[in-house]
Amino acid sequence: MLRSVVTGKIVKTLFWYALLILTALGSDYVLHRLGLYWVGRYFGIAGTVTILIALTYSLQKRKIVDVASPKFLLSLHEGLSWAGALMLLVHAGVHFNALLPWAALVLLLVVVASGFVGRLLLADARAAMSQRAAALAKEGLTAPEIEKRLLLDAVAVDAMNRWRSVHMPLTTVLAALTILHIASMLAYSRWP
Amino acid sequence: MIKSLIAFFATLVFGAVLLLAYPDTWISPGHLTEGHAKISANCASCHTPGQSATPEKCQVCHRVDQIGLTRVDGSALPISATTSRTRFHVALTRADCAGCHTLHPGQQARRDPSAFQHEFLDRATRTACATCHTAQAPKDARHTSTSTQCGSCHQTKAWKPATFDHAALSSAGGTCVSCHAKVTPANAIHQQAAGDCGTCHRTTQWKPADFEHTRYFAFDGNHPSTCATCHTTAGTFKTYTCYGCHAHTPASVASKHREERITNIDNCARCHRSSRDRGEGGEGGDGRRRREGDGRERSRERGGEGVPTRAPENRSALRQQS
Repeated sequence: MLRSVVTGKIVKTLFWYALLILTALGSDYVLHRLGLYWVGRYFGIAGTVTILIALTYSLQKRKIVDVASPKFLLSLHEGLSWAGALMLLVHAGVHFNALLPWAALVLLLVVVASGFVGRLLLADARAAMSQRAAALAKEGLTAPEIEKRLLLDAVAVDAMNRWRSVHMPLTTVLAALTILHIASMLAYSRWP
Repeated sequence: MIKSLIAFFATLVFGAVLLLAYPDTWISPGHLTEGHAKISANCASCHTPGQSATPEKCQVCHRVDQIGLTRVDGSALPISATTSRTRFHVALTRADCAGCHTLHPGQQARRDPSAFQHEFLDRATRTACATCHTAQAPKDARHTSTSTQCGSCHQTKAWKPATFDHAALSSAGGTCVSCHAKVTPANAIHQQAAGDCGTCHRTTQWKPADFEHTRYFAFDGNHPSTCATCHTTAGTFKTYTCYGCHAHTPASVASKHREERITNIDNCARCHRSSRDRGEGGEGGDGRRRREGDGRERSRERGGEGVPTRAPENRSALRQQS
């Protein structure tokens, strides 16, 4: 049961992830065809601001702010993070050759993936494993037996839990790279 | 939370060190050109914080009056290949090196040429296009036969589309087909025009054209016909026939004209320029005009061509003379 739930969620996760990348590629292609690739520069600003707004959820979760219901903020976090990531991927289409923006881009994709794991996979996997454990208990199995039967599922959930736990540290590393990127652009590039 | 903060500050500090130590690798949009390789680790050589590369910094090494004449070390460049470039840079009224040049060819060796604004040039250079565009100057007859400036037809933003004033062409010979041979219409009606495009078309634009069928026969409510109704011979509009429609049978037409002693009844429009024109022109019973107007008229009659060439108002004169 857990595997079927997880498989379905993996497909859903991959769909949204693929949609993000394909939409970014499609948008970048259209902008280049129209000769509007320079618009991507401004998507960098818009994407960053969008993701900063999405971070309200993280701040409220750590009781730094209290502005809205957690459920609403989580939905906002998911939606704005996806949209912000899309804008930043399009922003990356403005051709670069240096390591810093490349590192930031790769990290952005990893952070988005870790967010998908936390949201779409882990919660359902935990619920499914609890139901399975309860069912086995009803069948009269002892705790060690249940643990033995659910060993592989527990390992999978644990792996996902660990993966999700890197979401916030990776986000802070991404924030640091973003700050360095913005600082270097302000120092060495001409705006607008 | 603590782990996240540690990761944040560690990345910030370590990244800043890397950026300052290896700017060419970490933040440069592309390796510098070969001539600038020695300053690849010193971004401040060209860049001013917040302003990118300023012209003042470029001109520390690249003196505008020496561009194309000498290298930055002062050694001379071959003058023949660079004279025009020297004039070009001196003629710029605004210093904006980065507007056209970039030293990071990984991004673009040269910026989009369309970004160059001709308004940066002084007026004399701006209107003398060949100062810079020596290689692109067109050599075809269409261009060599005009003595006007390029700007009369072309824009600085792009060579095409262009506007063209035919009055700028020299008056020595030349017809429309001299230049427009490739776009000459091949259909039958145009083939008969014998190159006199201006009869119907204007130089400003091909359409609308004003072909006046009224010169030969006026259409009206009784004759809203298609070409093929009267011009029954394929491939030519010089011949026509009025026979084949209701009252226009050879027998009935011959009967009516016999009373006027008119026997040449095949070229109706010679006398009838519209359905209301009663055709009071004068023709003798031999089928020829009693007094012939000019040679052109004569030759057409003898050649048996249907389309009349005389203007209607001349027919009354003919009638009086007859």
